[in-house]
Amino acid sequence: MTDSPARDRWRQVEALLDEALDRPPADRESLVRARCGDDRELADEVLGLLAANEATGVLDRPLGDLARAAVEPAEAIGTGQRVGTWRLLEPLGSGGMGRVFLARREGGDFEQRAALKLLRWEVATTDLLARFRRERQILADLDHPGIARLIDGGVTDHGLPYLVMEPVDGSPIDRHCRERRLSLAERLRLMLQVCDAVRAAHARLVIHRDLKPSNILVTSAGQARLLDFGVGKLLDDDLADAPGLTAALPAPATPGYAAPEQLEGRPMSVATDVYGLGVVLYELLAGRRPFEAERQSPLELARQVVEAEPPAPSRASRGADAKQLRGDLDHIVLKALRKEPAERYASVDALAADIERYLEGREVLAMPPTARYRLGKFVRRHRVPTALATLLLVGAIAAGAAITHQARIARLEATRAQATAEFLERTLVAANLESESAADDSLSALLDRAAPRVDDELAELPGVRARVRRLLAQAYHGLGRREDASRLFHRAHGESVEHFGADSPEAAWASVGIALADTMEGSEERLARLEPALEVMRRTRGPRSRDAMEVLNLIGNSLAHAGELDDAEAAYRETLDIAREVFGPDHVWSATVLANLGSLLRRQGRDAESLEFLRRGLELYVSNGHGESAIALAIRNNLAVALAEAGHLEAAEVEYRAALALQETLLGPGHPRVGRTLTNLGRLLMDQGRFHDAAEPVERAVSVLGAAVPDGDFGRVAAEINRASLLLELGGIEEAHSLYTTAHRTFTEQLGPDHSASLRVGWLLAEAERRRSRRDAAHELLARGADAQRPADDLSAAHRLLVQGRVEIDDGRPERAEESLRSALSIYRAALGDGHWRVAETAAELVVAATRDPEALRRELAPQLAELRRALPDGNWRLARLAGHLETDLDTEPSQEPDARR
Amino acid sequence: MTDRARDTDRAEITALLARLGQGDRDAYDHLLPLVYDELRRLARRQIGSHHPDATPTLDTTALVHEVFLKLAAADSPQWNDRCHFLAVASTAMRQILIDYARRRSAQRRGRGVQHLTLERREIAIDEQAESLVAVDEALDRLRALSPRLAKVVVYTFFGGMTHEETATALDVTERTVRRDWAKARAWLHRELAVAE
Repeated sequence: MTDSPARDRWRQVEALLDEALDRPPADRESLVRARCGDDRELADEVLGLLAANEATGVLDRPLGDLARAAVEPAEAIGTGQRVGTWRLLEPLGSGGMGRVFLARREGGDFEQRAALKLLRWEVATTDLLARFRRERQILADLDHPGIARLIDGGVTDHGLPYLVMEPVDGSPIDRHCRERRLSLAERLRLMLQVCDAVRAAHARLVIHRDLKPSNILVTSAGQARLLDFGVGKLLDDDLADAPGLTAALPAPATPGYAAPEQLEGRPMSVATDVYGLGVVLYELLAGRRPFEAERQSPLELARQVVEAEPPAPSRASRGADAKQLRGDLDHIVLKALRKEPAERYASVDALAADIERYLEGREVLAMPPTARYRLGKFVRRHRVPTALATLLLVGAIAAGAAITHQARIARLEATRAQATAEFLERTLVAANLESESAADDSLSALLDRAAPRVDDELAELPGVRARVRRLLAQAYHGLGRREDASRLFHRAHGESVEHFGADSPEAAWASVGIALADTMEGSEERLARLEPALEVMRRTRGPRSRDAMEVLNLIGNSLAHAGELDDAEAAYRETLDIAREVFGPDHVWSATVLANLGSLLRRQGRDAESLEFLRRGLELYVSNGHGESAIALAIRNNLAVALAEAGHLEAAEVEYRAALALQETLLGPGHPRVGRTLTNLGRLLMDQGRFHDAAEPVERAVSVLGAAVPDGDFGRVAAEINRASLLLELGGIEEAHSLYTTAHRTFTEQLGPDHSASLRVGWLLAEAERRRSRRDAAHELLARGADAQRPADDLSAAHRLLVQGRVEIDDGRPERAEESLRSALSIYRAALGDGHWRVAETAAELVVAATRDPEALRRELAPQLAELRRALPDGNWRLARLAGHLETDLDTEPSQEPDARR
Repeated sequence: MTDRARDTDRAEITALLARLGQGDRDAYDHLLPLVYDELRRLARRQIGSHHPDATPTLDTTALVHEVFLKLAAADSPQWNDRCHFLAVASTAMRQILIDYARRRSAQRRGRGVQHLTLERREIAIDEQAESLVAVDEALDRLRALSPRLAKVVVYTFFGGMTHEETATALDVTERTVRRDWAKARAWLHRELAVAE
């Protein structure tokens, strides 16, 4: 910080004040005058401050009144007061989210009345307000006769958000039906109106989330109008992003009407509203709600919604038309109420179409659940709801990355996205999710049927077509169908360039897709595609945009894989900054980047930071309800790796085994991730000298990955390297040698001879060569990378030095070995601590190299050997090797149990 | 579910506090919004527990300490961490009060004549808001002279922290804090007198 004259002056003043304040008040003035001499100005200043010190002022008054006013709850606002440009006329009611007033706009050219909803203070967080401003426009655009429009909204002086809605003069739909004694057909037609309004909102990608009779008013003319569209979403998003807040708030949806996924905190979608419509329909038909036993606790109600099958409306009905409900109407309602979102009607349109079919006396598509059981099972197994919603509606390139619904919606622009979404919705319907023939279909086959239709159906809309094509490509990519993904990404790219221009974000996204489908992680080619895409995003969407952030994250991944750790760190840090800005610090996106950064820091040897980032990333995943997602599992795995590297071996083993159990349950025992975790677990056990415990995970990793991924996959290579290391420990030198050689070739070809992975496996191979008495080959391998700059606690560098030391001992050049081993020992000691067998082993080798006198060697080696014997299993080759030095050099029998005290 | 969310918060806050203790600026940036929201929540609960007509004042000191109990106490009994936390809470409290005071002053100026119809209590708050805005502006100038003095003001005046707590948070002696507060208070009072 630069010093200013003012600061210099203040320092003088301060010194004098300090001195003066130590004296009794009466002595102060004379002291100051004496100290200041001619500088009267200084004296006056100090004396002025001393006088001010005696007086009382604003800093002595309590803040209580103002503080109270600053946090005043909404209840202070009432009839007659003004909120924004609105005057509150009379209270209309109050509910979970706040109070509603009839309000009149002031100062306008015309008289406008509206319902003003004042939200409760609990929801008034800074995050909400920012989002509120962003989303308001989208909601205001919801222009449909069946939807009460959002007119205005803002924040009161107290920081309370409020919404102003078009007023609706009508009564709740259930009361309307009761009072007017509407016939079954009339009730169904009313529902069709409601469906139409909901569908219109869905086309704008707005989900209601809180459909219930009190939110559906019917005017005296018989027009149904929906209230509170998008309000639940605004609030809900905020809650989702602020875990701390959920504690203080009731569930956003109304318990009796909430869908299972809402209660479980799973992602919401159009299917959530299908469920809500199902409940309302149930109520209009049966005269009661699907789950509505007397004296039920909210908890019990929630349990039923999540677990129990509702009784068919015909059986629940106490009305005269119960018989008419049996069959088709039962099926329709129950289909809308399925537990799994994907088993419900795929869209509100589909629900409405079935109601229409019933009204027209045609056969409805809804079937009793048994006939669709197999599809249901498939759906549950593959989580199509999330998969489809994520892959198709989203447009997130990183398929599999956890991205929440609202964030996706924010990114899709209104009109184009609307067409896209509608098309995809139709596609899914047409792809026979609805019909029995689809029962055995996989998502994969579904896409196969959707893909060719893009050309026919979207010929008139080239922009939408390009976009949809890219979404399909992403879906393929998410399913691991690389070639199909690549083909469609290329087409999408061509179409995007043609329609949007080469420098458009659409073209850039397609190019990113090509990078993911066609190039290897960490390759030059991938970066060569990602970097220009980032530039495009920065230029067109802004440097702090979500698009730029996503590409940046991919670049970070790629750089990390390529071993460009510092550049990767810079990319991740910027990604994290933007993620926090765009989504907030607690969002899963922030968590993802935190975890990426954590894994990277580990590779840079920054253990403490790494552990913290990984833990925090994992915690955020868990707290966001994604604790069992694939990414959370991957983070858990990385956390275990970091724990192991930081020397917390037991904690690491616990994490590995936890991750393994989850992965086996969720992904199946043959999944590549299971193989990778097994590899790491095996590595950990071997590092502890537990070679026999390691055998099971190591072997299983090889067989799982051998079946699940192609030859040359790095994960598979890593498993094979592990197997080689284990074989080497157990005496299978030739087999180990051959596995190491293959791995070494793979890495050298794909990453280059000087990549750290190539070097590392080269040094492992060197040890195998040494044990085959091929010391020249060992020397050659060890020479490569010997002079590379490595972190001070790099274990592979230590390993290289250890192997080199051994070779030099074998060469009969102990003085050279001494130097290598000393370096190895200091690294091991720093990284692993004194208790580790590696340290003991290296120390023992050093004794061998450094001690010329046989007596001394015997004296000093014995205790090292004893320590090593405790850590390693009986018969380990290291013990034999070191004991051998005692034997040959001293020409005596090695003692069976060397006595450390001698 | 909600309990778990709380626990996560706490664990997170504990971690952040540990980093804060090591002078990690990033941790501070993370902690502030959490504390800010919790402060508002607690404050409103405090008000809400009174009868609507009682129009209680708020005890800001108690609040700042209550936030600590609420968010962090279970996991971080250390005096050190506690003081760092209170410092963040005081900063959040200042933010809340100043934001409101600024809004209120702006609104008052826009309100014009209507002022007369307000009840006396409201007028008193208006005046307090006005002077608080002045304090904060002066505080910015003081910060330019001595950042530490400005911090002492935030902790003592806005947060109601004791000199002992402030001393720990700033890693200086209690005597230094007492002296700093005297100097800062004198300086601000003089500045405000000059301004008027």
